[in-house]
This record gives sequence, structure tokens and C-alpha cells, in this order.
Amino acid sequence: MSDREDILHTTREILRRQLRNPDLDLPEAQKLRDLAADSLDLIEIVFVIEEHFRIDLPPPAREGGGDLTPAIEWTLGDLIDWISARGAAGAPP
Amino acid sequence: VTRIVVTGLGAVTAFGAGIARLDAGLRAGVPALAPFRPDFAPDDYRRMAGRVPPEALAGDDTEGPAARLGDRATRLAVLAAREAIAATPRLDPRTTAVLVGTGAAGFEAHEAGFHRLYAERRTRAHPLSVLRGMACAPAAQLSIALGLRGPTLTVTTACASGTHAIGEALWMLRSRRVEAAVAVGTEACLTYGSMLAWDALHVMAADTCRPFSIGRSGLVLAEGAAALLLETEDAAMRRGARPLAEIAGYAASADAGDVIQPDIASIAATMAAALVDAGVDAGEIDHVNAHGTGTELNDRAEAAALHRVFGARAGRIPVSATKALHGHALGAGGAIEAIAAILAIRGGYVPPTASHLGTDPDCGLDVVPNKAREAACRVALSNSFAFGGMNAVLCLRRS
Repeated sequence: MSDREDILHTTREILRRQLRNPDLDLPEAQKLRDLAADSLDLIEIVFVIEEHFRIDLPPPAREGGGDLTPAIEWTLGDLIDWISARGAAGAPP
Repeated sequence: VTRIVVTGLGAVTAFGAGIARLDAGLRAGVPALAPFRPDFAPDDYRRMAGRVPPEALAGDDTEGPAARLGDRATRLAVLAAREAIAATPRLDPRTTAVLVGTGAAGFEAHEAGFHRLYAERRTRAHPLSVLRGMACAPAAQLSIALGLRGPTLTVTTACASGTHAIGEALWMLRSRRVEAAVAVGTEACLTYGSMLAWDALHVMAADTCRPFSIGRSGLVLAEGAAALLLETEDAAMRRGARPLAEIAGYAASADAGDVIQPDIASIAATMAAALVDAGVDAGEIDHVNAHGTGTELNDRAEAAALHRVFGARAGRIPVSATKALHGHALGAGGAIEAIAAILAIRGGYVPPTASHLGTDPDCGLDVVPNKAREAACRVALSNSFAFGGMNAVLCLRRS
């Protein structure tokens, strides 16, 4: 099982790769929605994180929640807490 | 009636990227076909194919939306269209249409997606599967990549798609709905599943594509894209664009009969209708770019239809089946071949029907065997007859 630091490190790597910016500064207070340049970035980021950690992020809220998971409104720190709490193992490298 | 002219050309074919390579390939008459093994295929699976060489895609914008969202058919279409409009920077995006002809567009996207689900047994599809695989993906990405905001449509009529796209763009312009149109044919069908599907029809050549020839055994699949910028003559003159040729006529029809066997009367009537639409007499046609797939069924029906339309002259008109050179690029084929006819008109030559071992006596045509020929072409036809019985014929004229 990965600990919180490992998950944070891996998630940052995933985000930098997905956003094609290897030097991207990613403090835990970073809001995920503000990272995305366009609608596709968000969709792909959610997909790659779910695939990598073998998790399902919360489904869209029934009313007023938009089309994607509400997780996109979280900070990076929120996301890491949520994944850690599920003891996500992460996909093999 | 306003004349509709071609003011830009672009192509990515088995000869490589660019009209210059296509022109050189058509003149040289050496087929750009080679054995090819697609991804996912067993080690010993090879089929002759017209594969776009990897270096042709090297200039592709791999970080851009077309590459990220693009199935290979989309990437090829964007490359060809960029070349077609490169010389004409002052297009009005609001009055420029995009018409894309494609047989199926998303082969690569669909097959990679199905491999993931059915072979890797994953339970999630990639979230961009729909956007990559939809039949209108090339048209959508073209409008985005080129910033064109006019009507943007996809025409899909199997192997006649590219010809229909040009013809329907012609009518958009004639009706003054738009002032310019980018008409594109594109296909990237060299995937294992697609090639097996064509194998199953028993129409793939055992050796190579030999249209109208004795010893022929079928078609050779190819990928590619070709693009034509069409404009009303007055819009072109206003912009100072140089007409390369005129799209003088077009006809489209359906056999409403057999899904594979072409209907001779129907395809002859379509050629005749294209001549009427162009206001051209059959005696004025100097050259035909045939559908010419290299299957016995198609070649004999097309030859019989040519004899009906041109009578005693049929055996004397140079008829080129350029699929023997660039392969059968399905939905892209009609656009590649319309460009081949324009290059013939402009270049004063007719391309050869390559790999020819001697004309099938049941065809009785001058197929310009194996070697390009100098010829003054003023008016040419370009034929496309698709599975499903959908026919399209263009009449192209020196401008």
C-alpha cells in the first residue's frame, strides 16, 4: 500500500505529464479545475487518475453538479486525502 | 451559372506528403505499394498496402488538438487541407465550408478501443473514444485547425465519399450558400480488423493491383487524404487566387440494386449526367480517371459503361486507373483521383495504369499501360462507384 507521500508524488507526475508541463508547480492547495486548459484536459486527468489508482472518483451530483465528478472542484490535497483514505494501491509501473 | 474553380490542392498519399510527390509518383508510374503488417496482427500477416510513409506525418502537430483527438484519418485530413489552403491566406472563414468524405474515419480509434475492452479486459473505455472515433471527427478537427466557420459536414458513401464531397461542395458554391469550400477525402483503413474484413470479401489482391489487366486478382487497400479548395470564380478573382482547374460538372446516383455488383446502365447514366451538367459533349473528353479497383466485377462493369457512354471512341480515350499506383484509399480515393485528373490537365500527361500485364479483352480500353504519356488534356472525368451502389462522377476542365 502506498502512503500519502507516494500518492502525492505519483499524482503530481500524472498531472505534469497530462498537462505537458514537466515543471508545473503543484502545491496541495492547487484547485484541480484551475489546472485544465480545456475541457479535454479535465476529462483525461480524471480518467488517468481513476485508471492508475484503480478507483472511481465520486459520480456527478444529481443536481447542479456538472457533467464530471465533483472531484474537479477539490484541491490537490483533497484529492490525495480521498485516494489515501481508500488505501489505493496504484497500478504497477 | 457561376463557374466553380479549384484554387488549392493538398495530398498525403503512399507517395508521401504533398502534391509534388503525388505528381511525381503519377508521372514515374512506379507503385507506392508494399507488404504491410498492421498493429495487433500475427507476425506472418502481410498484405500489399498503400501506407503513408512515417516521415509524411513528421510535420504533424503532435501536441495540437488534431493529433491529440485525431484518429489517423483526422491527422491525414488536416495535413492535406493545410497544404490546399496554404497559398490562399485571405479566405473568409465565415463563408468557407468544410466537406469531408470518408468511408468510416475512425478505424484506428475504434480498434484500439475494442482491443482495450475485449482483449485487455479493461472495464473502462478511454474518455476520448467518442471524440476520436466519430465519423465527423475529421470535419470537426479541420474546422478547428483551420478556423473555418462555414457549414461543416461529413459525406460517407464508402469508396465514392471523396468524389461526393467535392460534388456536394460544388453545389454549395453554385447555390451561393458559401464562397469557398475545402473538400477533403480521407481514410486510414490499414488496421488489422479492417484489413481482415476486406480479406473476408475475397477482393484483396494476391500480388498487386492490376486494373483492367489480365492476371488481376483484386484491390490493394491504401490510406491517405486529399484536399481541394474550391471557390466561385468571382470570389477567386476578388482574392487574386489563381484557378488551377474548373469543376465543370458532377452527377450522383444510386443503383438501388445489388450492394456489390455495379449496375452498368446506372454508372453509364451517371457519367452521361456529369457530361450534361458540365455542358460537355462526350466527344470532348480527353481523359478518364477510372474507378478501376482491379476487381473483375468492377473493371468489366466500368469498361462496359465507358463503351456505352463513348461508343466507338471508348477504346481511344486514355483511361487511367491510378489505384494501381497509390492503392485503393476508399473514402479518400475519389479526392486523390480527382487531383490526379487535375494534375493530368495541368501537366499535359496522363498517368499510367501500372502493373499491367495486358488488357483484359473484355474491357477493350486504352488504359495507358505502365508508362505515363504526354497528352493535351482539356476535359477529364473522374469516376467513383461505391459498395452500396452509390455512384459519383466529376467532370474537370482546364481553367
